[in-house]
Amino acid sequence: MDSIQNLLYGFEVALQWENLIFVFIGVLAGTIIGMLPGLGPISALALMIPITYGMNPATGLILMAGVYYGAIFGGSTSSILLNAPGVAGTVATSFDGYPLAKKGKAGKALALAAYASFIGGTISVIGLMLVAPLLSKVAVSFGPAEYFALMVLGLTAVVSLSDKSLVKGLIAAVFGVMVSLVGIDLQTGTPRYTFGNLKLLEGIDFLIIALGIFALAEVFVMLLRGSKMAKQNKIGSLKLSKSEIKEIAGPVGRSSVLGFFTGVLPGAGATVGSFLGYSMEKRIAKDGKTFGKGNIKGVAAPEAANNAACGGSFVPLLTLGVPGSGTTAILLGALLVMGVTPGPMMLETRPDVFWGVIASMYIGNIFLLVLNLPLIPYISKILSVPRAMLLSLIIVFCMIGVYGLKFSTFDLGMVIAFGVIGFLMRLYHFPAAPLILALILGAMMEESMRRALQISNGSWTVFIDKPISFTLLILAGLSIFLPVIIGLIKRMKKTTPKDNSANL
Amino acid sequence: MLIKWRTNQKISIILFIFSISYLIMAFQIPSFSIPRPVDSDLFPKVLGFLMTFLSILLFFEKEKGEVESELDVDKQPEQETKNDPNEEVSFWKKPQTQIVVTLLTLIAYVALFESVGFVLSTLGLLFFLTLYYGYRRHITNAIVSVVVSFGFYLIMTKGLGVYLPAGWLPL
Repeated sequence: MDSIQNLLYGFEVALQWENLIFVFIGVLAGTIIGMLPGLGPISALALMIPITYGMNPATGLILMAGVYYGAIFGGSTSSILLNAPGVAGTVATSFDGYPLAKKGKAGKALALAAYASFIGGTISVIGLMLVAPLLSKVAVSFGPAEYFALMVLGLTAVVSLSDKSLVKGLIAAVFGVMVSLVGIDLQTGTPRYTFGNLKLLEGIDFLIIALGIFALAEVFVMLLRGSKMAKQNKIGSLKLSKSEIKEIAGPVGRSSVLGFFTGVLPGAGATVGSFLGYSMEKRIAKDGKTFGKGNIKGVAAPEAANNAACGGSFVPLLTLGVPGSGTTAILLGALLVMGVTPGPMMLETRPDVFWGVIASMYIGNIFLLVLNLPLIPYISKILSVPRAMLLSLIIVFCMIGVYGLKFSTFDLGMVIAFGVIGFLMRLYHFPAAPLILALILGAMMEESMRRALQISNGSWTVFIDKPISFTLLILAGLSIFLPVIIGLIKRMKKTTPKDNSANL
Repeated sequence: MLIKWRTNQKISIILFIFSISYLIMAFQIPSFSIPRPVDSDLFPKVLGFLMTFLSILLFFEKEKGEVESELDVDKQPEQETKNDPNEEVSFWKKPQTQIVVTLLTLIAYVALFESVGFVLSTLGLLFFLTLYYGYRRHITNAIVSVVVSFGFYLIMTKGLGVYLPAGWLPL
């Protein structure tokens, strides 16, 4: 079979010493950063990007992918031990993980999380290996009109799935596209929104915004939340009994598959996947009522699902070159910096990157299992690093990372400005993921729209005439308007039996 | 409820002004000499109008209940510390003050970065912020600050061959 041969080639790449070391560094750093309450995979990736400067793209992506799934792995630790999820994707884990920890079974919950994550991760890598080449065959026929429609769908899906206000999500997305347009228009050479500043001609680097909005703003939010840290529960034994393994086998398998496909969809990622897995198992389980009180299936299902979703989210990123979430948007940004443009052609032009990353994920998942099972009691000590030092270290890493980009203090000023913007967004409940995705997609969207219109001689019907782009645009419209319509219907149902006082 | 609603309105007014000025600038983008189906100004104009429309929508949007509860969560620790009789929160330790001081420190860091040099300014930033956030083991703090700032300097300049301003230090 072709894919087996390709996978063997991938292992050849992934098993090179350099790549082995970097996948280890990636998963370790990801686990540690993901474990810190408040810092999720996006912040972890943003903080690690400066390290990939000048790296060979395969190694760079192997490192970054390791950081990504490592952060999701690590997030479960703080969910279980502190009830303070470091990552939105592991919130569902805390529902049953923390009650287990309070019962003195933290070790069991951590072991469950580690096994479930491992299986979820591995199943999703198999899925990625099988689905990605198929999708890339379809994607080869995509023209600029289809790409434009796909990017619109990616954006609207992320906006509609962010739990905050739809309008605020859209504002964040539009603002992201606006920021992406700053600088010279590559097609005409016209400077836009540069205010005559030479340093803005090249545009604002996405790392500045990623570090500002996700890392620096996070520091401000942590400062605002105050200094109280939750008490850490004792870990206890890590062992699982045979009956427990039997009990979780079904939930883990189902949630892994569900999680993978959730990850493939634009907009939905680890967070949606984990909640879907959790609620599905709660409904299926005979003892569904004990969910939330320390049911082991309530830990296994979301953990399997979120790791599987993480693998699934690589499908659109690698085959279409269009990220479906804020996190994969940062990965795409990092790849572009390294000079690789993911897309349907990447399978042929850069098989080392494509198959190397997939193979490295198998290895990375094994590393994670080893890291998380015997070593977890030691790694979780990081949670007791003084908060004061942690916050100032994050600030310093942001500054050094940004300065290393172009060695300009102007960039340092910009990262502070975006830190403030990100903080205000958090304070007033504007979601940040649409912004970062729009930032990456904005320029690409404009380019494909222009190319489509150039091919069609300026006729706008090009987006509707092509069946794929038409369907994608309809889906994009639905993803925005369907929740609004459903919300309106629900509100009407609620208000009709009552009097009209609500309207006054 | 009413107060939260006003917050949205205030933000929407700021956004409205922002999008109008964005639009004004969009209309000033020069057109390309060769006519094209889509010139540089189309996308900004669409975005400007979209943002204007969204800011108007935001003006009329009501805050959801969940949003309020989340805000309360943000404020909870602060109230807790206020109620704590053993610990009176001084002006300098208030979260709001901490954020402002952090910002000012960062601005000072950027301003002094090139003249003072990477090592000294980073060392100072790290030590001061850690101290200010309430870490009391000064020797550990000093060791970490020195190791991190010198460590990064050495990795970047010797390892990656990157120039970092040496400033006052004869490096």
